[in-house]
Amino acid sequence: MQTPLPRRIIHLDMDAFYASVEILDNPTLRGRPVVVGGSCQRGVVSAASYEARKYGIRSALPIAMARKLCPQAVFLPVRMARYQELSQRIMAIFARFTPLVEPLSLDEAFLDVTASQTLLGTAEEIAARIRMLVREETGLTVSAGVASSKLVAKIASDLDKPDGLTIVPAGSEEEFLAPLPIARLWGVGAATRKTLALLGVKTIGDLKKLPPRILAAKLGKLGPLLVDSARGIDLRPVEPEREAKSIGNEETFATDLFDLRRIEQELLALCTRVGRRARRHGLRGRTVTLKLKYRDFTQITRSRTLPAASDDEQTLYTTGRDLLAKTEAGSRPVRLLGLSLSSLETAERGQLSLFSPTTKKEKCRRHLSHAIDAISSRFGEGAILPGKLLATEKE
Amino acid sequence: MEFNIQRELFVEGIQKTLGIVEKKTTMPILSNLLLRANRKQVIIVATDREIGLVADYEADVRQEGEITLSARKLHEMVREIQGELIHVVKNERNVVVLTCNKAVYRIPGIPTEDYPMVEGPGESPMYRIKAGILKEMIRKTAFAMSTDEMRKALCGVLLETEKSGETFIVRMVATDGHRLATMKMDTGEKDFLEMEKGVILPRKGLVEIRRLVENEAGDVFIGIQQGTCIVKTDHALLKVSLIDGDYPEYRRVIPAEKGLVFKLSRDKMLHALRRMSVIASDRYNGVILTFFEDKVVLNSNNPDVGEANDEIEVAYAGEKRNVGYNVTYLTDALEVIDEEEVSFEIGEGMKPGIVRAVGNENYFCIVMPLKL
Repeated sequence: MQTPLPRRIIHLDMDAFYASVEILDNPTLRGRPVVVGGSCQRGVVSAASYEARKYGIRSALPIAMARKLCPQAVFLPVRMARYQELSQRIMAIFARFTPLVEPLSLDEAFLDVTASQTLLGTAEEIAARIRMLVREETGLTVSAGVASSKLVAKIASDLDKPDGLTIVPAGSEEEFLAPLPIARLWGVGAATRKTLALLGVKTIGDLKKLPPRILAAKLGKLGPLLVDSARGIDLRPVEPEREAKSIGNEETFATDLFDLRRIEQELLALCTRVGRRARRHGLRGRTVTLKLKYRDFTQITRSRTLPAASDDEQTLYTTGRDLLAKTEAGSRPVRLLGLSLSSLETAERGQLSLFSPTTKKEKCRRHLSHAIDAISSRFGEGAILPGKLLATEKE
Repeated sequence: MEFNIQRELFVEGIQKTLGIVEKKTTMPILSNLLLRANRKQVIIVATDREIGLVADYEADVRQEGEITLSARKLHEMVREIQGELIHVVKNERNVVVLTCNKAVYRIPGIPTEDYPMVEGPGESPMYRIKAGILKEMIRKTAFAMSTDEMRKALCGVLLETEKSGETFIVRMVATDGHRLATMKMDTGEKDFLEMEKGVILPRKGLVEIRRLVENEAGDVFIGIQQGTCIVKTDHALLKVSLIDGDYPEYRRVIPAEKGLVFKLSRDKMLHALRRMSVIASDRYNGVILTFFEDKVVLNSNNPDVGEANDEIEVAYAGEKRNVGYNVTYLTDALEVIDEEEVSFEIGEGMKPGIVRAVGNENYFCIVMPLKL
């Protein structure tokens, strides 16, 4: 929905979030290069402290490469539960200022504070207060950008990192963007940048000087979109509580898997996780999709629609195994396996069915799932497992 | 092949094939109809291999013969032509020429050899049934069929027969897994289809059966033969492939005990529900009914659109009761009722509700509530 007032949007982005949390929990790390990422040799960097970034370490860089770049850095495994906990606290702070909070990930969110301004002060004041509160209540720093659109706010928050606040007054978006390199715009990757460089476009300001005809010819549909972006025009609203379209998990294996039995075991582990997550969110899904990446990185997906929405891992597993049979798993090495549940519907509210749960067996299984969920949430994930998975645990 | 035919009759005959012939042309010939000039009739055949229709129309046949033509194009041509009588002739290159006054259409045809045969019932027995019974049973149940292709058996209507005293009863049942509508009627016939278990008629076939019997005042004939259902009138024969699948045991879900029963005016309830349905969307299609103090309060709420409230008087003195339903399921069930008064039974807890017509025991519709 469009607000009639000129919009004021804040983009908040935690500074090197995972790495900062690690430093927060272990202050002796302060001032040292800290890299958080997967533990096996195949892992990639999830976050790097600003000290580590000086060595050229970036997110998504393979860990092995990071070790070469900076052998003296502290390498730590990902502690997702801890990051989630802090993320919740941070998002709760954001929510004190507006209900229009759109989280993009654990450490990043858009806030539309247009309507909050009459009560809580200008957008600039709100951004400053949020930054202060986050620091006081969590000990972490967050950078903020304030502008009239998501596009400009996001670019602004990134401009003065870490611990920065950049304000773009309404009406001065074009001026603000003009001197920035073209790669700052969404949709401009290496290929587009090359094309544009040949046309003499280096900054966002240069883009506007090009005749639209040439831009359209060189970039197609992206052309007009970029021109709008260059002017700071972006009408997308801040959308709170983005609904989950699917629930899925995937696993990249430390070594490629050949043995079908072993792959099925991994599949069961995935199904257990997906089922539990679905139940925790009170969702059921009708479409089961299996994703498979072979050693040579070719990726395939196979999916099937269930006769009725389900959150039961046994159903997921039997369906997933049928789908697996349609792949080359077992004869071709598998690098990654994923399973997701989509076409979601709420399990708690909603239309009841005449014919289900049809069997006593299904009812029993539902009771069993709930009991297992209760045990897991009390004693931790993995406290109770299907017997088939015990072998993996030992390995 | 050469004949003269009344334009109106020809239009009608072609029109009846349009629902049957294929729209997507995987096999081009299946989007064609077959014309056969035979003695004093023109026979029009249409089939998609699941459904077949053979109908005869009076015509002045000069020379016997046959050809297949695009049903849709032929329909458009004959519809646009002005005049009473159309002259149709096929030349040696399988081109059909339609002439009416000065207007001439030439349309290339495909020879009939590759056209799938639509065979009649042969020796298998056909039984008499009033056209009105078929019409009424389809009207009362078809709306509850599923459209979910994953549940093949539910994408059709179950047809069952049983002997009750001297005569046979027919019953149709349709369900999409959330609601179930059923209607039974006495055929008045002593000799009728005897089936061990019911057969499932597919959606498209039902539409065609309904179209076939729509304007029939008297009796038609019905038979089941090798996975097909055949319905025959004086001038047409329709063959429908049955759905091969197991229909769920619907009797198991018909509540044995009566819940709370409310009697309501059909019109008042239907109109109030329609007012609620203005608010409904795919995601928020619920209506909450609250029964207390001699009234039922209807409430519908959709965060994307708004809210609606209404109330109707009803004789009720018990505790306050709350129940939610998909509003479409209720309006569908009420719309096919002709009686003035309806009864509405609410099950205990999460048990199904039942909509009935007061004074007509033969129809009812079971509706599962929404979990609130």
